[in-house]
Amino acid sequence: MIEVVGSSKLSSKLSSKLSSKLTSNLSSNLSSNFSNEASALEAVSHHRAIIIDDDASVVLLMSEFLESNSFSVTAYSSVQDFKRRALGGGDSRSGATPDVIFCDIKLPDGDGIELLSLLKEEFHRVPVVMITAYGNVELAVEAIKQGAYDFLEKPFSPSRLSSILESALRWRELVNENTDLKKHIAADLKLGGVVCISPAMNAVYDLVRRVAPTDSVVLITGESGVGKEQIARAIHDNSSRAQKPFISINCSAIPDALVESELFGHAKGSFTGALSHRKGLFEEAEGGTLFLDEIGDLNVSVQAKLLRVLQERSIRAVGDNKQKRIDVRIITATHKILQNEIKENRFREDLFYRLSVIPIHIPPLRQRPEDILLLARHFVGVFSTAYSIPVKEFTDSAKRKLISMPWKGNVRELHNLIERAVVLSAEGVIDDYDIPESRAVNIEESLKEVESGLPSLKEVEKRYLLKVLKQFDGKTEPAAISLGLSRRTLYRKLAELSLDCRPSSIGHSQPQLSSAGNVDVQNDRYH
Amino acid sequence: MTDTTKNQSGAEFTVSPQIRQKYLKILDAEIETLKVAVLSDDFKKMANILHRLKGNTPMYGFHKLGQSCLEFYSKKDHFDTVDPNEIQKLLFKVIESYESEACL
Repeated sequence: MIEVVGSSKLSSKLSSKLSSKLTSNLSSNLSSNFSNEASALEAVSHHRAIIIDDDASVVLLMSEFLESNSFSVTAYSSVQDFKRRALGGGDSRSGATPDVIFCDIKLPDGDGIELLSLLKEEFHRVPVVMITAYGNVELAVEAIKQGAYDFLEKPFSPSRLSSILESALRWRELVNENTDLKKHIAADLKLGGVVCISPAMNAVYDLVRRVAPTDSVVLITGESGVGKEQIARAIHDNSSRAQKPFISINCSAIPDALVESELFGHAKGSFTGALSHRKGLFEEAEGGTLFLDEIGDLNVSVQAKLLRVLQERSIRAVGDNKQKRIDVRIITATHKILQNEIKENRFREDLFYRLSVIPIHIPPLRQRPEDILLLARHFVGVFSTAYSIPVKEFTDSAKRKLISMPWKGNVRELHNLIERAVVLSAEGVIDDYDIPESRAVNIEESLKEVESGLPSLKEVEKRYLLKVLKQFDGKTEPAAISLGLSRRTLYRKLAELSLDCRPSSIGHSQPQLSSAGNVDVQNDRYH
Repeated sequence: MTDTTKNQSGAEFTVSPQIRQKYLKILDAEIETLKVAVLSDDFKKMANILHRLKGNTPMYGFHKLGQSCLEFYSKKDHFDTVDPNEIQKLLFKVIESYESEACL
């Protein structure tokens, strides 16, 4: 808890000036008397706060608190005072954007809630905390509905002020961070909300950046929920086709009998129920992009027709004899490993090569833990805005839990979990108990999974020793010479690695343990 | 030396002697203005000052004064009909609380 006690010399001097003036005239303009000192203070201050309140004692207490926490404070005593000095340029620092604004709900010449809309208009993304008298909660709730960040009920304690301040600054930091990130990304690449920082995702973005301006066919692979459609859309948005349609279809969601008609359209009377000519999705996407999701689930007969479309760049509607030329970029995606599908004769190999001109693989979320909290905070921002709920922060234990989760459902699962946490968490924070217990796993397990493809050094050493021993029919002397070791050292290593160097064991590809768990040197026939 | 008391919600509340001293000057002026308002039957001003005092005094550790102001403020809708002696009594109670707590 930050206490008022122990304020800096500068703030004491400031308060002293402030109080002497206050006693002479309580309703006088508070800030004008210390603007010079505040300017000097600003040079060493990290943050800036505005207080709009006619109550001198509230301003005194809050100023003291804020200044002792490295804030420079500007106070206004009424709506008119604020408009005249802050907006009318009367205040020398009116151009500086504050980090937080405290505004009394009841001001002598107006309503704080009415002023709130002006504040929100003038200072975008600055949290406004309304100050209210005890028992005026209805008004405070109304203020929050109108866009206030939170409210401070009088009398308030420094811990309450401190907690609101910390939370408001964190909110502002997040909003700024989000805006900066979006600006940074948007300046270079339109990603429609996809925000990741991991090297793996940066490699994906780099590929998107390079492939987007071309008309190459792209195959996006990755587990369910990693955001394949978002990447497809990013490719479209960053291509010359951006102004044309982006049509997305999930191939697994359409019954086999209807896929052909959906994709290529049908002529009138081509089958029962075909009462009129109907355009297919290829035609709908003319000039734009057609995204075929879950391409691995497309039935084989339609695969042949799709192959033909890719080769000839023309389509023929069901029941129609005419070929129609099309200008459509095709992007496909699947969570399946298509090479396995080819082996099982469920996917045409020639189509695979046509589709995978540019393959883009999106790694699962658990393999890029650095993206988890960033995405989680991004979603908190999204849902806080959507549901008009103050932005909630994660406790340290919640963060640890989020990082340790397996995320089988990837970004989609994270998205849904954060929505639930934002809505259901009772306090202003999201704690670990707001995250379902059953889905979390040990962090070591996650890391093991990431590194599962790599054998340990000990394992490599074991394999190598066995290979050399096998080469010399289990004879330790030539094996030791070959390894550049003394025989004694070789025996020690065999014992350390619990290896049995009997010929029957060496013949196996996997190292075998002796019954004792290590090599019995005395009984080693090759000793 | 600091003055530590409890606020309305029961949380520990600490202000420095310097800030308390500054607030006392404000409080002096507020009490004087309240006296003048009572003497001149300026009910609106009385209500305004009491509203401020009941909210602010506990923040600086003046709880007894806060209670007296709250008691006085609760009559605000009937200031014009309440017996003037009753008003005087309420004012004296405020002054008494102020003097007892301010001298600590």
